[in-house]
Amino acid sequence: MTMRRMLGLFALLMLPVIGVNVAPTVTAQEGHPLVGTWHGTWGPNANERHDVTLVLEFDGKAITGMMNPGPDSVRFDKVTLDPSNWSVHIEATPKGAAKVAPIVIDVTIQDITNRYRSLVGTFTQGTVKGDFKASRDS
Amino acid sequence: MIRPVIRHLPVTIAATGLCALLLIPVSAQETPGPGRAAQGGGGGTPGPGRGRGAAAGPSKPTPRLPDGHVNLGAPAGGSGFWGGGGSIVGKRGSSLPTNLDVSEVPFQPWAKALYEVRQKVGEKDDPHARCLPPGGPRQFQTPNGFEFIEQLDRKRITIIFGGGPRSWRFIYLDGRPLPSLDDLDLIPTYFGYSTGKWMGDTLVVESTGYNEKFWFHRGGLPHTDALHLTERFSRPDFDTLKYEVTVDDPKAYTRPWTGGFTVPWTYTNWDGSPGGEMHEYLCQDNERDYSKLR
Repeated sequence: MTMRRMLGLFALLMLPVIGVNVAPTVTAQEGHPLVGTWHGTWGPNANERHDVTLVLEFDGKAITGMMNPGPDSVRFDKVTLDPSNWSVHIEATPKGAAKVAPIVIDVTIQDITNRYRSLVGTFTQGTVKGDFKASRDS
Repeated sequence: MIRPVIRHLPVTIAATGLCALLLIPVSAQETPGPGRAAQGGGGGTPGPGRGRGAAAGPSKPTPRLPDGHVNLGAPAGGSGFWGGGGSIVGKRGSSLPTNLDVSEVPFQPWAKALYEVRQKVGEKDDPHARCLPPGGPRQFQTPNGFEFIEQLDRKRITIIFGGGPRSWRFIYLDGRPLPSLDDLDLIPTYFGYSTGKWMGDTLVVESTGYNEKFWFHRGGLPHTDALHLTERFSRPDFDTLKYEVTVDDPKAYTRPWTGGFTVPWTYTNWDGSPGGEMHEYLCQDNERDYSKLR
């Protein structure tokens, strides 16, 4: 084996180690468990997935927020949290020229005390149904 | 093939257990400070008038600075520091008899549920165990103690902490206003922004501007970025610091509530030898799981 190949093999073996060490860390957020930014995917099946970002806030009374901040953002009409089982219900109406069906998301906060907690559940938009999963980002 | 495996099963189980013990990441826990060492593992602090390592007899009177106001630190030429305090809920140990029981704390529903889960899982995700700084009353609950340093020329008090990541906090006495939570330039911090003034023999401190990256009290009472604390520090005798705090966080609690505890003056070093100096303790030194810090 030449020196160049040995170096190449070493670099290949080191990749997972480097990957672990540069993986983004999650900043602790120990207040209201929904507050922050969540990233994940949703879709009708395992092959058809779409990236999704949620931004959630809490003013002491109501939970508010939006999906996919930017030009195509969708502000939530209603967000409720049931602390007895950490279930979350979200309703949103996409805006735009075309008539788009409302979105309903029902998820549960998993591993509630962990800063790596996640939202796992389902969504419905018109006749489309599927699963929803997002992890807290910041 | 099965028989040899069964024959060696006890050895295999023992070896696996030993390996697991060796591989368990040791989270950064604090060494037993004077509070725990003196009391065989914690659970309260001495009552008023009895400092750790103090000579027998009643406490000396409250020390004062030349201008007459209470000295919360060691007198000139002296040493000593405050050991870890108790809890702002419940009435056990050094907690104040006026404290609420935890069942009486006016939690918002989400905050009550979150506190109960944190208790149920043994506080396994306490940020302090990952060496994050302890703001609020938590800064006075670490077993490695703390000191007040009043800088008269700068009109501020610096509090240095022997526990956690060895951090410090400023309390400004120069009359400056507290920052507004509506100020978009305000950067929320672990210790918040504190201003104080002497009201008789009590130092009254208002603080706000906290981030949400820590637990403000041992045990996991939740707070939000709306947290506003009013702390009252007094020294009824040489050996006793009385700490009382009003918690006002409308996002986590339905109304303001108050609790506190006393903290004993410590004459000894952490190992019980004479001296009264805070020892060098650094949380990160014990952290074997640093890839998961933050």
